Amino acid sequence: MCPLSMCAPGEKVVIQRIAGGWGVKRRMADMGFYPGERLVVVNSSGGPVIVDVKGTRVGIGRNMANKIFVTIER
Amino acid sequence: MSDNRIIALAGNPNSGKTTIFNALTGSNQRVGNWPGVTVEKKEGVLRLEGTDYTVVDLPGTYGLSARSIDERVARDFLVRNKPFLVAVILDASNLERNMYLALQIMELGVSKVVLVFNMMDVARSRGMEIDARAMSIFLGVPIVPTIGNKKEGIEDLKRVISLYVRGLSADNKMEPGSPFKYRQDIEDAIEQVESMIPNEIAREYPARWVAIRLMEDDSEYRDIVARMSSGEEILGKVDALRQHLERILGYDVETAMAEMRYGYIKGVVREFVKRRPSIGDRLSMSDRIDAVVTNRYLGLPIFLLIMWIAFMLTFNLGGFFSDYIDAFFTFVGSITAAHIRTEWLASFICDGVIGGVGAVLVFLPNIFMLFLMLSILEESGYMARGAFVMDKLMHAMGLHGKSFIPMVLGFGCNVPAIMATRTLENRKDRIITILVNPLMSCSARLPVYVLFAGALFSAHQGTVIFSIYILGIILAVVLARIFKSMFFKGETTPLVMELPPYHIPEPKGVILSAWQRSALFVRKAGTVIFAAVILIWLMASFPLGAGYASEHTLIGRLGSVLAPVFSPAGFGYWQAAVALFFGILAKEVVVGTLGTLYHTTGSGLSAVIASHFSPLSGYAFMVMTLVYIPCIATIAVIKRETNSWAWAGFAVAYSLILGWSLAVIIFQVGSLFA
Repeated sequence: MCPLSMCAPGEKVVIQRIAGGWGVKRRMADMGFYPGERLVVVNSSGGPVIVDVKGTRVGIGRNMANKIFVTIER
Repeated sequence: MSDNRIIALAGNPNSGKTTIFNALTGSNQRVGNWPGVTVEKKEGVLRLEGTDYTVVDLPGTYGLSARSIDERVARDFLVRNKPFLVAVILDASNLERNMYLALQIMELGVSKVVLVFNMMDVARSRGMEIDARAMSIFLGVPIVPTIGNKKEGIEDLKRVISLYVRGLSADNKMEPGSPFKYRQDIEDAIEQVESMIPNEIAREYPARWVAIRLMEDDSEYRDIVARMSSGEEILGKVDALRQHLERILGYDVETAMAEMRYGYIKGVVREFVKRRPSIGDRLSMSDRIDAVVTNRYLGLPIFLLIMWIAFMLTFNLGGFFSDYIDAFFTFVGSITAAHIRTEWLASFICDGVIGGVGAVLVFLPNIFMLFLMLSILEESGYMARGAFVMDKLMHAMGLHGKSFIPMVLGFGCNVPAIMATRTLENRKDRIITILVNPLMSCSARLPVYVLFAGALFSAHQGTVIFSIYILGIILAVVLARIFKSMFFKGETTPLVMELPPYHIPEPKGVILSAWQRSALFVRKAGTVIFAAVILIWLMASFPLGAGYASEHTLIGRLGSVLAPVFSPAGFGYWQAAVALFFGILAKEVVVGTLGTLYHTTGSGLSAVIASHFSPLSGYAFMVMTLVYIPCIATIAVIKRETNSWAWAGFAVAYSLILGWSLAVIIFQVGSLFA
């Protein structure tokens, strides 16, 4: 398990845990991020991490990307 | 009872909701490309078979958890006003995400629901086949496929609406096919809580909905329940149930509930949508652009370059047309002077109307270009990327990346910019963004810079004006930091934002949007500025015999009282003092006042400015104009959005002190080197 911010572009990952309070988790759930959901890392070059979630590109600020823990799928 | 004349439109940002709204009501509105463009509650009228219905365009939201004010507006409207019908607009190419909101609205159960599968053409081009009919039967709600921007399917939508209004006919009877349920132990818990909801609450809110919110630990609904006599008992039960479930689930109940909703949606989509594209199978053009423009090293330079190009076009291209408008007013002025014999009337037209209003209207091309650039940035999709590029800087300010959008809009006008802060989730972020927003130099202040920079820095005017904008940004950064440490300590909320694919803006739409915003400027020139200019002309003409715009007129005396305050800043002329004083009404009036008092416009006014100001004192005056007191409309909107006269008063006080101090420092320090 590693933070999303560590993943390389092209990697397929599964969310395991989102760190943060009630508000943060709920917000992330509304945007489609919750444990068990699959993401594809599209861009990650030290700025925001851009992922594909449910067919849309969503940008995640670096700080938040550090708090989303994922496992990489083979 | 719900009002059967009200139809609400709900949907995710970027689902094409505003396009459907326009198609239904025929009204002309802006369609933006960054999430959250529909900040205000917009209403329109839909006429169906001789009856008028009010269509309310709700702010775009992803769910009903009401984190930002925007989302709260949408949720409160749905829950409290109980519209007869809610049309949920969904991006058909993206049902898995868009259905989440739709499911929550169906779960709410107060209104009839129609699902509008918009952007069907995009879905088709991605190889998706949606069996809307079967899905509609399964979900128990009508589904209308549309292509909003081609007006396809709008008549079908109207037909469904009118069927609903008249009561469903036999062949359209909808039975809930397979309503969504949570897993059994959570359902049991919801039922237990539901049975405890007191009547006072159940009269206003659906009891099941309240029970669901409580199980999700929604603080707003906890507060509502806590006010009841049985509140403590209910919340105690809720907490016990939640703890019990969490032990079974191994994690929190609200996450589990979100997961079940998404799971259900996934199942529905799998069942009724064929040939789904595999997620993120290939990099699109947008992704390749994003790899460059959001790059850690390249992002900021690219951002600055784009901004710089936008400003250069604004001034150079705009200035080209401004010269023609100037020539026109000079021509009208000379004709008036030659043909009107009544001296006071000639003075009123030449000095008052042409001098004041004309001096302002000359800048219309600059302002149009500025709004055009902002529209292009918005519509192309770059603005949302800008939020991420600026996120680091914004964090350094103690702000949120999303604060960037209101800040950039501030370059157009601070009033809508301050209203756009409603998309910020955190109240602290919001108040700081509001307080520093007036430092983003709005288009009304542009005429002042163009006039002064043109008169005093002809060779480098673009760069000088750019430096004023940059100064405003730097001041905003520093002050936001200071305000944050003074008033609001604590962490900021995370930045997560949808990035819609880039597209080339439609020329017609962009020009129309820029024109609509510029038209406001023309209207302002015809009303507020015109009134201010008449007042100034009258004050400059009386008492009679004192000589027009001399020091002995009413305005001269007012100016002479104020002028000494500005002497340390190098512009202790009474005309400058009066211009700043009346500029509080609207910043364009600064130029209008100078035009009226020096009775000239355009190039004539430039010559007068060049004779009264040195480059140094002129620069100090531009800085003063940038910073000092926001215009009345902005003060009013700060009051309204913060709901506090104290914050509005604070914004006035800090900006006046800061503006004056900076002007003095620039002039005094600059004089040492001159």
